[in-house]
Amino acid sequence: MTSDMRVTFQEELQQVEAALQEEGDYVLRALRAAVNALEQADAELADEVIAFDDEIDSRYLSIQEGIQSLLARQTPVAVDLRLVLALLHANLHLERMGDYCVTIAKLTKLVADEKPDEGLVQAFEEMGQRPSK
Amino acid sequence: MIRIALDSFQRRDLSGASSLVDLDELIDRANRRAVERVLDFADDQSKREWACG
Repeated sequence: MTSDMRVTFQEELQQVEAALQEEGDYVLRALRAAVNALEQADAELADEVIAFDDEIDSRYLSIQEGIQSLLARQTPVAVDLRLVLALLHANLHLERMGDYCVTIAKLTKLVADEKPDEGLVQAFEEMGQRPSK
Repeated sequence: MIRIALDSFQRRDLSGASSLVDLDELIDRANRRAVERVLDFADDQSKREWACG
């Protein structure tokens, strides 16, 4: 790799990493909202979580395309390749977390009229609060 | 926890990343409690019927 290509590669890598951080922030927002919707049996908030997933999907696709482009044009090796593959993997998992928030939101809507079980809600709250810290 | 994971990745912070293992343990325990609570419902005929519907 020439030094100019190397600089470009590092810059592009930083852009992808920044986008991944942003995607993570979006997932955190979705998770907090999904847990709040569940706790408060708030169907309206659940709808917002479902709609918000499009934002996460959009970032996921953008990062995916960025990584594919990096792999095709820069053919990274060794530590660079491991980093790119880690980004690819993390991107996939973050997008999936967004999908799980949608599942929670849809289930919240399904049981919105049911009387909540306090013990269960408490356990869900704890499970939801820890990842979102 | 998600923030810790992302920050650890960004800073290449191995100890931060390792701390996630213990944090996950706490979530596993909460999950176990939730599962046990759900299994308790199995005794309640009306709730079992609702879950199957």
